[in-house]
Amino acid sequence: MTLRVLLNFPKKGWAVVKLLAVFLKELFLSGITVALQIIRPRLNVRPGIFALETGLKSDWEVTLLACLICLTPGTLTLDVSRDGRILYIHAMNIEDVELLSAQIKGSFEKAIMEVTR
Amino acid sequence: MQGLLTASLVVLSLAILGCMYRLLKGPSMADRIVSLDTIGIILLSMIAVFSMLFKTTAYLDIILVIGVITFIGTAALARFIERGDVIERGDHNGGR
Amino acid sequence: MNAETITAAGELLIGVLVLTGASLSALGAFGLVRLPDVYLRSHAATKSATLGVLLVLAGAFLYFWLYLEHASAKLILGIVFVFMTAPVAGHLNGRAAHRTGVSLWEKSVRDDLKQTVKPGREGMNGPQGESSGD
Repeated sequence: MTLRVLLNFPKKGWAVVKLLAVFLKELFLSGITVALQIIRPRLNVRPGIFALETGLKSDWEVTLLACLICLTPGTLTLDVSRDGRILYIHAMNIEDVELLSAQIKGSFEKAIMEVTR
Repeated sequence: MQGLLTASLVVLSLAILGCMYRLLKGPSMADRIVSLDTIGIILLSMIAVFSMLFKTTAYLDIILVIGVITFIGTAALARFIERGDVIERGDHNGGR
Repeated sequence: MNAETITAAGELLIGVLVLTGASLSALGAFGLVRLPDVYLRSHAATKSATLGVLLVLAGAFLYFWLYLEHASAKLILGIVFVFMTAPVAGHLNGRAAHRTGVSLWEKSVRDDLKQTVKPGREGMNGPQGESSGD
């Protein structure tokens, strides 16, 4: 048991580093994107709230995902359903819901799962 | 260096002025909470700039304290406008 | 001579970093003034302002580390703390705004949350018709 944890440690550590790198990258991208959106003279955003069904199970994972979503360009978690399966997300530009949720599922959920499983 | 730091102090003061406008005008309570949060965060960076200007590390504690107090204050205010009570007591039916 | 040049260039670089952070914070505040509803303003406040503060604190850390020989753990702690709490504060505030019925901007496209919002914390046995305000 202990041996397995020890053997597993380098992989987990690498996954944590990768998750942190994703966090930092998203923060920079989102800050710059939102700033560009603000200084544009004509405000052409189409905001809205959409529901995202997540495949993550535990509270810890969902919390991490919600925090991460708050840092992506133009999205903000507003509410989580009672059972923690559906996140309600306010997005600045909502023209392509499918693309947005595919992006979130593809990059974030995968990075989180690598850490926790 | 000194000039750049002074210029950034001026820019940060202008930012606080913008937040004050929203704080006074804001149509809903949530607007005011957002602007208070932003004022706290900008104040934190102003103190970092000050401590660089004066070349002292004595102010670095204040940065931490302001960060903590801003977050706690935002959380408590958001809870207050959401439920009408900050700390729920078990026996007393506060709020709703 | 050479070392002096490098020192001056480093100071200039740190100054530019701090000024960039300050400008990003100011952009966030400008967005706070300009954008039309709470949720969009919250985007500006949580993202641009946080990034600006991170840049300023990173500049301060570099300055104290390289020029005053003082690697400050407090500044690192402050950076981590701001980085962790800014999204949480944005989320709490947005949820409170939506639960107290702050309406979205009129050009908003859709609102998936509207149907599922419940009147109070205690009434959680499914949606009970329309929410009764407060």
